[in-house]
Amino acid sequence: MGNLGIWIGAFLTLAFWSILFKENPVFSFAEHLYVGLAAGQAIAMGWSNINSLAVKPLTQEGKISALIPLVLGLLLYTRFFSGEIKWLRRIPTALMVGVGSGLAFTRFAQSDLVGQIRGTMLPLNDINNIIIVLGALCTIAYFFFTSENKAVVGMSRVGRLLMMIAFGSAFGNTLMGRLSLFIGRLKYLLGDWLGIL
Amino acid sequence: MEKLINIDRRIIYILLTISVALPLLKPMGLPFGLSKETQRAFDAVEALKPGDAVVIDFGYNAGGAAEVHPMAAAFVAHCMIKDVRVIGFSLDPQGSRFADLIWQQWAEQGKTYGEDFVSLGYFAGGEAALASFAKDIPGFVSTDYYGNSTSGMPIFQGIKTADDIDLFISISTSSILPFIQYFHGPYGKPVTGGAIGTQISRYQSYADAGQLQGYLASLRGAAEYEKLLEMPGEATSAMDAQSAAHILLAVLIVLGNIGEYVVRKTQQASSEESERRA
Repeated sequence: MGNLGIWIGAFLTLAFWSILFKENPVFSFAEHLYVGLAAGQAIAMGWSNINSLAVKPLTQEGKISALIPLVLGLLLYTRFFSGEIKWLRRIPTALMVGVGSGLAFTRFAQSDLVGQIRGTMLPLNDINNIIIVLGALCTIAYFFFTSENKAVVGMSRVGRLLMMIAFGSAFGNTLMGRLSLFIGRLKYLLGDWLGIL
Repeated sequence: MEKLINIDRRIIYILLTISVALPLLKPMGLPFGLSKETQRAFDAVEALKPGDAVVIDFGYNAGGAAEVHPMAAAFVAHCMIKDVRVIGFSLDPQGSRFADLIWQQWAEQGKTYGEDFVSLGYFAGGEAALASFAKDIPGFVSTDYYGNSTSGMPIFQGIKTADDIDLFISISTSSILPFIQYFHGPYGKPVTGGAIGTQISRYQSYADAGQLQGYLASLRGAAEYEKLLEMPGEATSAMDAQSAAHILLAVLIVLGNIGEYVVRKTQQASSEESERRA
């Protein structure tokens, strides 16, 4: 079974790579298989979560409170019914949006807003600190749209240049990451499948 | 020169495959340096004492495992060497299966499940799950990945909230920021981790601000960590291939730009010539 798994993995890897040559039926087969498997796994995971977080606690541990998420989850499906009960879907939706935005806002404000501003308030006694502070100010100036000001325009040009450097770095990192994935697959083919590594 | 900017993409794919395959078949042992952020991540684990507790998120799936799984293996190896308790979970449904590969290896080397390490499986609910976990760890995880009860496991001794954890490590193909938001922000606990190349740039500002104790950048970061651990592994063996591919891509970018420049200049000169004649 182990060997069969390796052969299936190797076949699917080559099938996906075949699109690099041109569109072909083997690639289409692998693509459809992948979409089907992903959908199947999502359904299985969804059921597993409902089972472990609500059904089991309710039926085996007698936790009546587990009924709340179950009922709220079922209410989401009232959108498929026409008529008077359709509005009920808004209750779980409102709850999810409220909890999600409440959690995200407080944590975001603390870590991303306050933490990042604090991280930019540096003593200007070091070349790196000077670059960080001036770079942050120039980049913010690029997004200053309310009035035309020569000083701000000059700063925003520097900000644009700094952002382009950052995008270049991001592109380099992306390339490095994608190559890592390619190396991983090639190691699988040469090592696990062909056994020549 | 026009040929330079119109190279058939299939030729580039073949060249790339050769440049990666050759160093894998015949390793050259090309040197690679250490980044400051990898050193900081290493130091964060190195500073732990035996018996301290670490939480690791194996937040990745098959699509990104080639890039980040070696990081997870290196972080866990370091923790195990230091006799640190490791509590693992996953914010990705597939992550715990990859974690299992690492746990098996350490179980074979004499580490005890439930005492030295534990696998809590997939946490559904994302950020809401992290918030609940941070507030009440024993209350949030009543069973482990294999369905065993966690109450009474020695690894959880003295652990009630995120305050009792000494280091949080997030290895993720989506984002390591939730760890900063839920464990560093409210509890002030140190956070480190590793991420895929496409996301690395955004973490530098968090590292500079002290919110992240360094990070591992892609497979390269994992190789640097293996070097610091003096345990060359999967990532180190891929570095020659990575370097060779980078050289090839740099050469192609330079050639493409030269070709583009020359063609543009030639077209400009010929259009000026035709204007003059007209």
